[in-house]
Amino acid sequence: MRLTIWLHEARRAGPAALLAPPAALLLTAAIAMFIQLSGAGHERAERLLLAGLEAVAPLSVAMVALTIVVRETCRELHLSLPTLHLATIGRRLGVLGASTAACCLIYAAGAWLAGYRLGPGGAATLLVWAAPALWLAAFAALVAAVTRSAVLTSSLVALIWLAEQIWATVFVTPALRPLFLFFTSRVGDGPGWAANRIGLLAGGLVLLAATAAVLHRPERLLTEEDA
Amino acid sequence: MHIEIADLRRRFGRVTALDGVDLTVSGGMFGLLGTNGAGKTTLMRILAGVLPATSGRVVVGGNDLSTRGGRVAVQRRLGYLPQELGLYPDLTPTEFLDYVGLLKGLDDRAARRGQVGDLLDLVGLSDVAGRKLKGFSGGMRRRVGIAQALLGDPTLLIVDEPTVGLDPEERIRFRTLLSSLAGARTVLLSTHIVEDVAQTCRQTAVLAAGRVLFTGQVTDLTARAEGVTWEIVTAGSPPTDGVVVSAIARTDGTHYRVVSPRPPSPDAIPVSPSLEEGYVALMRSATPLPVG
Ligand SMILES: Nc1ncnc2c1ncn2[C@@H]1O[C@H](COP(=O)(O)OP(=O)(O)O)[C@@H](O)[C@H]1O
Ligand SMILES: [Mg+2]
Repeated sequence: MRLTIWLHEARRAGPAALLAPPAALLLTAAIAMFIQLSGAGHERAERLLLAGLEAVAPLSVAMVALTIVVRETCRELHLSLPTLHLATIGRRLGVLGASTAACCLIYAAGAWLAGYRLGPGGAATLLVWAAPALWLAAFAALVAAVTRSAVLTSSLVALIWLAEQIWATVFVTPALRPLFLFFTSRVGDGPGWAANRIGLLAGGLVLLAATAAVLHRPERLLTEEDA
Repeated sequence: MHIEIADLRRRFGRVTALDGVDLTVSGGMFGLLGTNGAGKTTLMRILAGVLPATSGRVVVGGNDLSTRGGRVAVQRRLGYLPQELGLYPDLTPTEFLDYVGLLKGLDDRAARRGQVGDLLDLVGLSDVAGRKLKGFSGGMRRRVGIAQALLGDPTLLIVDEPTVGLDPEERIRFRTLLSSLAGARTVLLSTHIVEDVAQTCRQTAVLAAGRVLFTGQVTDLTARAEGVTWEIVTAGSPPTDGVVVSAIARTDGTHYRVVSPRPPSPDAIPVSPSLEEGYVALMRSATPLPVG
């Protein structure tokens, strides 16, 4: 494994890839701490901390993912190089995945040490954030690859996210449940939780594969303005 | 590197950018001339493996570009300077070249560093090697562009309109640099500036509306205007017959050079043409003359 290329791609992914998820989580933690200190109760702070992990972090990851796919000032040069452009975008998304994982793990561990219970505990807590983050980020990457528009994609991602928050009761119905991102924070980690998480992970992988298929003809990303 | 193009077509929706291009390019510096929208960029992109053809056959150095293997084989020996090369403003030239070098498969760190240093010397950017690219002028950016193209010592160099937007001195420097690179390599230069080709290429092709109007020696293109290039000196109104290529006011009147199948006036004298006049004669013979 060549480390240098990863360092370059981390830089190309942009500071947002490395900073947006931790910033979102830090902000949530700060608000939770404020709630706790203001005496509003341990439980309310815990709910917010959980929502940060399951809802806020995935949203920021998805926004970064779509930027990684859409934004590239040297697209034409990349397409002329022997390294597959798909591999380059994959590396950048990989950097995003790694930084997200690191932040979420630290956040979850910190919360646990502070006496908050976020999800089922143990290794399964991973799925509280990993499943919705993978699904939403892969969805964002696919829409970005197809539309080549950051504005369109971010609007659509925000819309889905908001719709699932507002109509949570609709999304818990069996038909839509595999698409429900916020099961842990809205329903809990009881029956149906594991299936929902597996459903999200599987859906995320399918979306990722579809993204790769679209990017396999990367000249689609060349817009006419590039001509 | 030998390039063989047969009946190449490329459509974008309803627009036909390339309409049955047949072209052979062997070593040395080759100039691809054409007005804006002629299809030069599309042709160069297809040759660089950036864009697939709609139909037709392109073989570069024995590799068929319609296959993934063929494209990668060509891209390993290719240096490409796109018409619009965006750079990463947050990087220095050294960092930028290091990154492109890695993507070109120059895995050995020391060798890559060495090449980057040599190329920055070659294009005269060593002094600013540690400065961020965001402050670079158009000419400097173009030189970074040619340096990245030269990474990995390519045998085929494709440069798309590299002299556009450069001041005259930069332009001359740049094309001199390009000719000096052409020795062992095939250099494919696209431009709409006839002078660039006149000063650097022996072989050329003229593209118009996606078709090849001419391909051959530069001198043969010049010869297209043989017998149809005239000079007129007059204090009166400019000649209305033919295409006025130049007009220079002097004390004895304005000296017009005109490309026209007939003498544009009784006192017009035939003169030996330039490449630009050959180009004009070619374009004129390809488009039907206006009625009247
Ligand atoms: N990516 C593209 N999408 C749609 N149309 C394109 C694209 N690239 C080029 N064209 C069209 O193809 C024609 C040839 O363009 P181009 O190859 O850029 O010509 P040139 O480089 O000679 O100016 C133009 O009509 C242009 O609008
Ligand atoms: Mg062009």
